[in-house]
Amino acid sequence: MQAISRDAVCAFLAGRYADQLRGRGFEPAALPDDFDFLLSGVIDSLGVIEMISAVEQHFGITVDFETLDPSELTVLGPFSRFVAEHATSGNKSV
Amino acid sequence: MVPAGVDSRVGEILAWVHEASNPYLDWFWGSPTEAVAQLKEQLIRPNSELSEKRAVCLSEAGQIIGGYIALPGHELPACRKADLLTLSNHLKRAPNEGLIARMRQARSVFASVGSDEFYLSRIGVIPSARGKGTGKKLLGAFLEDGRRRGFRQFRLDVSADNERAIRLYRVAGFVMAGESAIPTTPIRYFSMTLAD
Repeated sequence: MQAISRDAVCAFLAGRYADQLRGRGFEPAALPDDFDFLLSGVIDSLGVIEMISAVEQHFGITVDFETLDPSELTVLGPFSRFVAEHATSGNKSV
Repeated sequence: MVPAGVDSRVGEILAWVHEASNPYLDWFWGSPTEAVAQLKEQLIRPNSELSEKRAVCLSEAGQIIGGYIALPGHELPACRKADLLTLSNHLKRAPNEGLIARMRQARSVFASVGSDEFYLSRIGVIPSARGKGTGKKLLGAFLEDGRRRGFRQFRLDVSADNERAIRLYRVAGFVMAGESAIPTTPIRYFSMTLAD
């Protein structure tokens, strides 16, 4: 499986939520590492589940999130880094 | 008034927390059995909004007759993220389209809680202890708990059909701040700000 970079995950998320980000006054290409999609109101509870599923589908990967620090679940940098470090090939999205 | 702290008490806490979470929770999880299973998991998980470590219980003759779970608004996002991560992991292990559909229906059902508000997540009394002022005593303990921690604003959510509880909240000084509909019954948001 080709390695997935943190930056690729960040870019995917910034692109996926570009309209919602701009609608709330954020520039998708200039999000800080600690940008929180949930707390900023870009996504809601269901949006979190959909975000995880979308990342896995887009990259064709499965990520075991059991060891993720919950506080980092919706934070751009840490979430992207976790995905890049824990991705395995295959897709079992919900 | 004793903090609930040991695993053996989880079952007793579960009894009133389950009822205090309904009718929403049974609808959300699709059955009372699944709702209870998930609630139990939340009660024993320290980072959950419903961790039993947060439960303040009222006991009588060695039995828990009711209690409440409350937390500062600024702690709520981290707890809800932890609960969401658990839900996400649950869905990855056991995909459930029905649950996803209900999440879609319940979008935005719970209004946000301010970081400076003390939030009453659950409050409940077992049936045999009702009509004796137990709920009033618990609500008073919640308010005192918040005051002691320096809060002046209080928040809670309640099913619109829970007239007994709504009467209690209004008498205590809570005012309705909004309402959101789910297929089971509307959820009403109440808030209160202490006078100077």
